[in-house]
Amino acid sequence: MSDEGLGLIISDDHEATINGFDAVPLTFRVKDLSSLPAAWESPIEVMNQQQSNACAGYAGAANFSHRQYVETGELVKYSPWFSYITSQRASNQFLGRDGGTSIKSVIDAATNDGCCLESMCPRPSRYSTTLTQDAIRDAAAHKHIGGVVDLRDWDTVIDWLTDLRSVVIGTRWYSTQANVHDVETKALGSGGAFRGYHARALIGWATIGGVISPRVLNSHGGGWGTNGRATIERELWDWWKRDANFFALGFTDINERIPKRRDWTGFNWTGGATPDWVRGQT
Amino acid sequence: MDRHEAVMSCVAQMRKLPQFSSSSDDQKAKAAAFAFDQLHEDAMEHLAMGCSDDDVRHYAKAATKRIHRKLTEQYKGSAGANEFEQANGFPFLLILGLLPTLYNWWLMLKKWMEW
Repeated sequence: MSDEGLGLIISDDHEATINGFDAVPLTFRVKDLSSLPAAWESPIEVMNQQQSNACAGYAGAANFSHRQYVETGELVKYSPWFSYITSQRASNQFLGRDGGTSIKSVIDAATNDGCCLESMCPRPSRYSTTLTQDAIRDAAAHKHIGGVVDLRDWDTVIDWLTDLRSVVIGTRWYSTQANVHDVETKALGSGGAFRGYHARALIGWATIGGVISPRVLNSHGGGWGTNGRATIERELWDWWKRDANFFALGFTDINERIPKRRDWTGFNWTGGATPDWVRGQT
Repeated sequence: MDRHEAVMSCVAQMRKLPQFSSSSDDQKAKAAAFAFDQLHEDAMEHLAMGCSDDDVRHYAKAATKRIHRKLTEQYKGSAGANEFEQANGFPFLLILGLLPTLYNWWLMLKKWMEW
């Protein structure tokens, strides 16, 4: 390969100046969190995966519901089972056994297949991969259309959540985590027996000791934490971050459901003269 | 000890081997970071959320093999560690040697957690 000039000659003085920039930190917080409320979270309904291993599907559906609530104010219940089975199908490696599914396949399924309403695809009494045509059609109109960002850094995740975006996390799961009440501490998150990996959704934030921290929605029913929710302590997050299998994926947008239409029957116009554009319409 | 610490410990062990004696600390740190990132990417695709502890053990074994194979195929036919080092900034052989050892560390960690 020939040596090609780049057209820029840097004098010793300039080089010293450039090297001096090494003292400037490469990452720093731009966002001002002081004006935020101490806590905020989506009021979406907590669900229960029971004995199934569909946590990734539940986290994916909660992510859909969260985005829907933020964008339209509607509380829509999406189907975790649909998300679970379509992600197993997308993976080409997990379908046929209730043994969980990967994070990448949840993203693939959310992007390619979308997600239908819970009423169209409730969790079956035992593992089944059957999906109805109605459910598939409904889901196709509600796809994840935004980006996915790999967020493992605490500050980045807090910035993401305080922008009212949602995050799906995948972490180690220990037996002591069943005892979480309102704060998920390092002691609770790393004690007892190792049970495997568990996916959940982050749906807001709360303040612990003056530190804004992620609020997590679990899929173990309302009996877990405080109505299925808890606040994650920073020490636990930093410990998770050192695990290569830990995920925190930020999702952006979905195709929203059409906001509920108003019933205009019997409506009386009280705003003065009927506008020209209304006249003649039925 | 978690997996990241295990990676760093492996690198520390590798320093004692003659073929890595000339590698700098910076190169070893890059090798560890590379191994960590490879494991993370692999887990995103192949580790099932909702799996049991037994599944995690099987996954860790398979992931180590996959990354080993991937690197072997990727750099098949290259002139060797020196060329790879020039192109990527860290020693190829270190990565290859690191992965099986990492798996052993993971098994030790697993046993330690079960006590």
